[in-house]
Amino acid sequence: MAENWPPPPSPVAPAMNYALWVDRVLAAIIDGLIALLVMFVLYVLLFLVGGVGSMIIGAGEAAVNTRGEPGGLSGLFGCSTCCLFFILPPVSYFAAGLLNKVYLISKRGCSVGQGLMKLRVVNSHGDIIPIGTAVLRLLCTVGLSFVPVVGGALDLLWPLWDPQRQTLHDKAVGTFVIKTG
Amino acid sequence: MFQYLSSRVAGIFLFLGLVVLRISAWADANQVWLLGKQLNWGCWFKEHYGFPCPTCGMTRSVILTMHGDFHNAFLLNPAGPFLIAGLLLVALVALRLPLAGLKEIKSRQLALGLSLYGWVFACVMLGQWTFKLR
Repeated sequence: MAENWPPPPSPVAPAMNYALWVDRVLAAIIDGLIALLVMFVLYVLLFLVGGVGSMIIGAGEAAVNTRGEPGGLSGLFGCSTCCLFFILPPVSYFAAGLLNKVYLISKRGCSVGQGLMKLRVVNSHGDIIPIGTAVLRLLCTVGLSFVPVVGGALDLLWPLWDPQRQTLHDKAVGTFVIKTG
Repeated sequence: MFQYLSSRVAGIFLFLGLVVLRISAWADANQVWLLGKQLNWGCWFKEHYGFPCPTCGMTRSVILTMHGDFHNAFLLNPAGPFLIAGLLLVALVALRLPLAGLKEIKSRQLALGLSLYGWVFACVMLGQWTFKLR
């Protein structure tokens, strides 16, 4: 009977073909384009709603513009809203990430960009990560992007000097990105 | 070896960036000067909607913090001193200065700590904004 039992799990993680940094960056750019699309939609929605609202209540027209530019809908685009650089990118990355970085990764092991680059996100045993880990991984990525100046840069560059080529958000949840093709 | 050098280089760059900011920029509660020239930046959000955005006062707050005026920095935007404190901590960790408790820090702890700091920073930013809007 005993010989039919499955062998105990090996304490040593299987050897993995860790993804190259260039492949990860390319995958991140493709995933970033999806987030950019979501960001553009949110940007248009935000300013259409805000612009129409300000036209209705008159705040846009009445607002003092020190550069002498017209208010209201005419001033909706081409703005230099510093807050949008802080708020919209993480929000859109998170919204796109719920599908791309959580659902797809927990379902098939890779996001759209990672699928195209033949990469796969796995745990230390080489298995696809569960949805809870994927959510935590996304939250860590967004949390790092909230840190101005250094957060995103450190996260992106970390695989360059890491022996297992992990990013910081991989380190946080113990995941690895491997090359499958 | 490469990892050690890389994190040191990152720490040195971060410190240098803060030093350059300290030397080149001045601010009071209303204005910012860069290399002696007054910057006439305005917040489009505030001009358009009539109330401040979450990052309003952040530039002045960061520069005032760098010049040691913590009281006014905190009044302008509490996220400014919080940001500088976080950046200094990251720079110290990257440089691996022989401070108690920092030598043994693991990259996983750094990753978790930094992402947690990011969320707290975002909450401070949104919290002070909500407080200003009251």
